[in-house]
Amino acid sequence: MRTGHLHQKGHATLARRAALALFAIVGSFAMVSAQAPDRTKPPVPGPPPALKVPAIQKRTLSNGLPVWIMEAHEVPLVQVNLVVLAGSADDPAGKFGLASLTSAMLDEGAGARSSLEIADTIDGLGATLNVAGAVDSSGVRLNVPVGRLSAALPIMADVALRPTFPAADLARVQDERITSLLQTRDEAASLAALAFSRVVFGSTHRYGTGTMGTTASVKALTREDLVAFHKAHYVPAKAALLIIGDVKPDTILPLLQQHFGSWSGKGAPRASLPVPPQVAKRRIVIVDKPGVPQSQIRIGWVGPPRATPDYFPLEVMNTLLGGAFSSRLNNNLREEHGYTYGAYSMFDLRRVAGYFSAQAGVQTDKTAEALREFFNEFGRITTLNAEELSRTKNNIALGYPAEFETTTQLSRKLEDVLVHKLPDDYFDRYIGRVQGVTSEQVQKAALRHLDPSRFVVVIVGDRKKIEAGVAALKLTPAVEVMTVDEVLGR
Amino acid sequence: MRSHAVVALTVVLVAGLAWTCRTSIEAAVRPPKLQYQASVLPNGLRVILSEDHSTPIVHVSVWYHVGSKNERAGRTGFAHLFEHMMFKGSKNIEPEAHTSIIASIGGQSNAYTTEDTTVFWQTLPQHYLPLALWMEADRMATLRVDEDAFKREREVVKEERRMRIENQPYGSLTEIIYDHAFTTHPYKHPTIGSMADLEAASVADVREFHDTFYVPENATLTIVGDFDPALTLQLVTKYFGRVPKAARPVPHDIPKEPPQTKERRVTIEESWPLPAVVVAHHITYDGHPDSYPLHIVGKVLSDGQSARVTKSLVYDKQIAVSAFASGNIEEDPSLFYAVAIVQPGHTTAEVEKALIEELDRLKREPISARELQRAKNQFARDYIIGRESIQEKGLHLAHGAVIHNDITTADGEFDIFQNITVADVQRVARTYFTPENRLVLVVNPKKNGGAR
Repeated sequence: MRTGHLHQKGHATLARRAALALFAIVGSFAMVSAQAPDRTKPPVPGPPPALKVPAIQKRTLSNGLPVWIMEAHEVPLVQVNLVVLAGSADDPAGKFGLASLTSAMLDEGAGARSSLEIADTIDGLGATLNVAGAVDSSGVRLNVPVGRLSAALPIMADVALRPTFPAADLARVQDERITSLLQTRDEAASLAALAFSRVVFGSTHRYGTGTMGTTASVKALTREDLVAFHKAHYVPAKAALLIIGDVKPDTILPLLQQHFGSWSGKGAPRASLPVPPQVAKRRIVIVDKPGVPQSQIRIGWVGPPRATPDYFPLEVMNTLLGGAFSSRLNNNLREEHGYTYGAYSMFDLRRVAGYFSAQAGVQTDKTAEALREFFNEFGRITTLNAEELSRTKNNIALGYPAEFETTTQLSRKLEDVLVHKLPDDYFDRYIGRVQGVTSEQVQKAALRHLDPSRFVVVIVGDRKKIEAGVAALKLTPAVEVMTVDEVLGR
Repeated sequence: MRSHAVVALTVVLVAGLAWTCRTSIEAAVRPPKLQYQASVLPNGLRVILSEDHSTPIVHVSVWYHVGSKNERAGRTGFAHLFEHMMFKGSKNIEPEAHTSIIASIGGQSNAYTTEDTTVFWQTLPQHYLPLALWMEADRMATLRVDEDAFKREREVVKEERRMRIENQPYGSLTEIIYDHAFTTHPYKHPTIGSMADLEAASVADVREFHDTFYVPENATLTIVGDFDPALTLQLVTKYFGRVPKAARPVPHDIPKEPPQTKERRVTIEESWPLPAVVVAHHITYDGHPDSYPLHIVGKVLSDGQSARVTKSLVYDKQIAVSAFASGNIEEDPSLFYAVAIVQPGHTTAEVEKALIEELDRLKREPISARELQRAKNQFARDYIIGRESIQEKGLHLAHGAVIHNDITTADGEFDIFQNITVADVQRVARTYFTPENRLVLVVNPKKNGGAR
């Protein structure tokens, strides 16, 4: 149990399952310390150390399956991720939640093993095997002590390539998902995220419904649907294996060939998701939850795809606005006004478009005031000085090496490179590209990708207590109301 | 029942296969031992240095040995509120500048408060280590205390309480359990505190708390990462050596919880979507020989889908949506609790019976050798993953030093766990899982209530 200063995860979520430079510097201080120490001024740092990311060693199995290997020998662990280039963006119309349910069912029975046998064997090996379903990709992730890799790999291969989707387990997982959707009704933050997507993207575009789908769509999915999705998308031509950890290519490749080399299947070509239309005009929508102690606010609209040429200016601009604890939004809403425990903003960039969202959970009686401050900050985003720009760029660029510490972190970075087809030298060039962003680029990116006059505002809160104040801001001619069923329905 | 037996048989076969290669790989599973040096400055500050040059970053933490269990009556939540005040500036650092300075150099910083400790940390590019030491020393020695900043921060903390506890189904479950299980020891109250007590806290309390607990002899500085230890120790001495010793000894007089002598049963209502059942037992403190087998019990019952509680309630009987059981092993004797969220169509009585049956089974019959080995392998996995990042390494070193008053446990616990026997597990189950030591808590959804 811990209670934090910033944004730590809650403690009891029951319903969910989760120098050379230094020598020089210190040397000079050590000499100074013989005299009276000066506590009034910050010590001056030396030049930053270089980031050395292990090289991506690319190989191919006999069936054409790409294998990317990154060696990291600090601890005797290895991470093996099989990434499939299909996700909920590939859900057919009327079958929202299929990609997510398919991936969730992979380890519920595979090869000759039942769900519990898979879990028991993996647990017995002291390994972790996760199945994951995202918007643009799906996958199976294994983390195992390197000495037990050969025992765990056959199970992983069964799970990814030979799931059996047993009827009884499918019914149980469908029930779990329906219960989980029921619980969402009482989770203000989750509800706000879903309502925001629904208002920005509408109920027919895939992005307007959560990855899990709706109660009705989950109920309607059949075993045949899962088998067909797996057959169409889980094929070597649309997948890759990412290996990170205490291994050498020469020793691991024969093992991978043995378990994944005879995998075959042509699959179906990837359908292209329609680009969602941009929000036409500003709207304010309240989802009424009488008695809730906070208002959950989400503000934003449709964002660019991950491939946008503005990626780096956007990264800098968002960090300035609300990407970090010391960003403007949090500084205003938390530090200056005490309305919230935290205010943030983000771009969720996907293969096809995505969204921009600014968010906070605020005191009910300060909902309108908080909303006004959000729009004040959006309004001054193009005003920035050189010092603030440099601080922001350093926040991203100097912090980059810390994102490469563990095998799990490295594997996620590699997944990004794979899914979004980033260049091989992406990691090496990243810091330079951040540092190269100019204030003109930030301003242009802000003008192109943020238009507060067309943002959607969604508030999950106690309507009786907040509506009058919100309406009095006159941000829109009228305040709309949406029911929980409209958020979660269809 | 029949399918049950089939599963068990297959498990044995599968286990046999996996086990054949065990001897050859066991050696590879233990991670390298942590390398560190520990020392104490003349003013009492404990210093732990551990090199790791694999990434050009450094992690700096300061643990103050004070948490919510040190709070006096009427001031619950104060240790955590005070933690927030440590970001409100010191003699040479402006309010909120600590976080923004660390952010502006690409570092991350944060703090958290538990029942037992308050921890401030930052992970930053290695060439900024002197800056972090300068800033941590400045707030230890010369914290600013401003009335307006205090009042604003109190609002932030109240909002934190609303977000984490009140606006979250089951968010207040832990505090309800502890409130009913304890009568005397301050674990009875939650770290976040009550709204009334937060409102009652004053600036005078802030000053007194800093003078009493935020003193070198009550602090442990841990540095892990890419640095030179000899030069760094000189820097530490330069910045922290001048912080004066406290005027009086640090109080650690915490009222003891009297042993519970008969079962407690409580039924309440909350505006949550589904009913919850809790079976809690008082257990021993972190570092007591029994605490290690209790940790294994938690793994046997609920680490992984095939663990007993999950398998029995969620998979086999399908009477719970989710279920877990684990020991909250803390500095003072705390609780082992099993929780299940009831599946619609089933009753809290069924779920209570099933949870108690799993605990009774541990007393009645020893766990299997395979279950024990699985739990040990899972522990080894957690242990290795816990030595991947410099922040985790720092956490284990500081935890040993502060909570066990013995830094060698950071590595030594690996062997303690690997030597646990099935008899140890049965013994602790029999010691603690008795009816008179038990709280049974049933939480029903409010009728027509809740925010639907």
